[in-house]
Amino acid sequence: MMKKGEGFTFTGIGTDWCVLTDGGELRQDARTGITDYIRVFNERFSRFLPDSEACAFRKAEAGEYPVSEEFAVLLERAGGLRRLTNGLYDPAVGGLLEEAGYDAAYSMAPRPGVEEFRLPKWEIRGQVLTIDGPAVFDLGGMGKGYCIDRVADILETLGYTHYLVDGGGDIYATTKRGGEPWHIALEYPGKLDTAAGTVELADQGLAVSDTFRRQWGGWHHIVHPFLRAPIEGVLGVAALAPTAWDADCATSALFFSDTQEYAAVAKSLHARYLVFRADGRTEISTDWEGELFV
Amino acid sequence: MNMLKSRRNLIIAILAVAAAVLLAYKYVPALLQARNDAAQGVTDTDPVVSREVSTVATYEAPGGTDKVRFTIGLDAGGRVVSVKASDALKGDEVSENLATFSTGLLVVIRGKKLSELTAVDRVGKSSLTTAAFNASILDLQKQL
Repeated sequence: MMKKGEGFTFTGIGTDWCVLTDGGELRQDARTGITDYIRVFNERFSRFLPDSEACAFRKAEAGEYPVSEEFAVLLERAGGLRRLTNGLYDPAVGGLLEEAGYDAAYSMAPRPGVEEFRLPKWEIRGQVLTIDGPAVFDLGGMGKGYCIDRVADILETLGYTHYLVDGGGDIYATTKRGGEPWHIALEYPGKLDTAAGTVELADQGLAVSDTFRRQWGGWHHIVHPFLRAPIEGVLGVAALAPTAWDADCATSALFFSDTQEYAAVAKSLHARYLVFRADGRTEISTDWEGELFV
Repeated sequence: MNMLKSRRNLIIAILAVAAAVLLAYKYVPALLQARNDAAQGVTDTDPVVSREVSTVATYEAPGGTDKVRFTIGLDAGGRVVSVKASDALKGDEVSENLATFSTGLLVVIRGKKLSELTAVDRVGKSSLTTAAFNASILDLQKQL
């Protein structure tokens, strides 16, 4: 039975969070530490906030710019995903999402300039970002996965050893007190009342992403940077990995990978996967562990 | 050339049978479960193939090493009703190298009502959209 109303719940980086601890309530210092971190993360890296680092280069000229250590870490990882997907995953699509209407004002209507959008080129070396012109970065799911792992770090630092961090449906969990795993249902993409299967989560991250929840006017939030259009063919992706960040990186990369590359892409991120295709079939990694309702 | 082609086809046919046996062995529990479900009156809207599994086989062809993807269709009772072989893995060099890791399976997931699941701690899912996003969509819909 679903345990409703349990745990510490709050809203952050645009989604609902829940932290469950097995063996006692979450103390106030932990609650404050977690919400403070999420709030600051949002202020620093949300593309919806004009003063964030993700938006700092919106009107920048080509050149080299210093960035914070944490933004450099995030961009370095994003650069790795960009290489892994032959350039198709790129956080610099932030500008394209804005042109398509998914902007800070939530105008939700494509602007005339969407057809002319040119993906900015960027490189990160250490804490120096090189760009060839204006750029807006959208860290998306991989940023959220990173955030979930940092919340786990906060809990570990404060002495918690048996917990689950749910950041809007992406999860990192240790084991429960007795060593048993957490039992997690996987929502079928686009079917809010349907589970595709279940997994037993223990010292692992889980990420689930689909193209349904952020739809507007023929667009959704996973966009092809060169076709200037939402991707087709894949309804959603689920991934299991050692960390939530790895799992979220895997879902981001798999959306942009060819079927024949799924296993290699997942392997490079230590992930196992389900790829829900638009034709109704699901591609499953052979090492997937969990029940699937076939 | 024809001789090479027929030899290749023979190899593919042998591999197809081998792959079918391998997959059937690997999915014996699932097949038995499917048969049980069928015996219990579970109906299937698709009268032929209700789900598919696939694997990639590597074999030595006259021109060198080659790969074939086999997709096996199962009916509601878990019986193999089709075996398809394709050269889908042939492509550019990068894809070919990556394909050496590709052994994914392809199935049809029917799903189960979340309300029917017991002892679930949480639901893994795509992020809910923000209130601002939802309000904007509603506002746009009203204008249509």
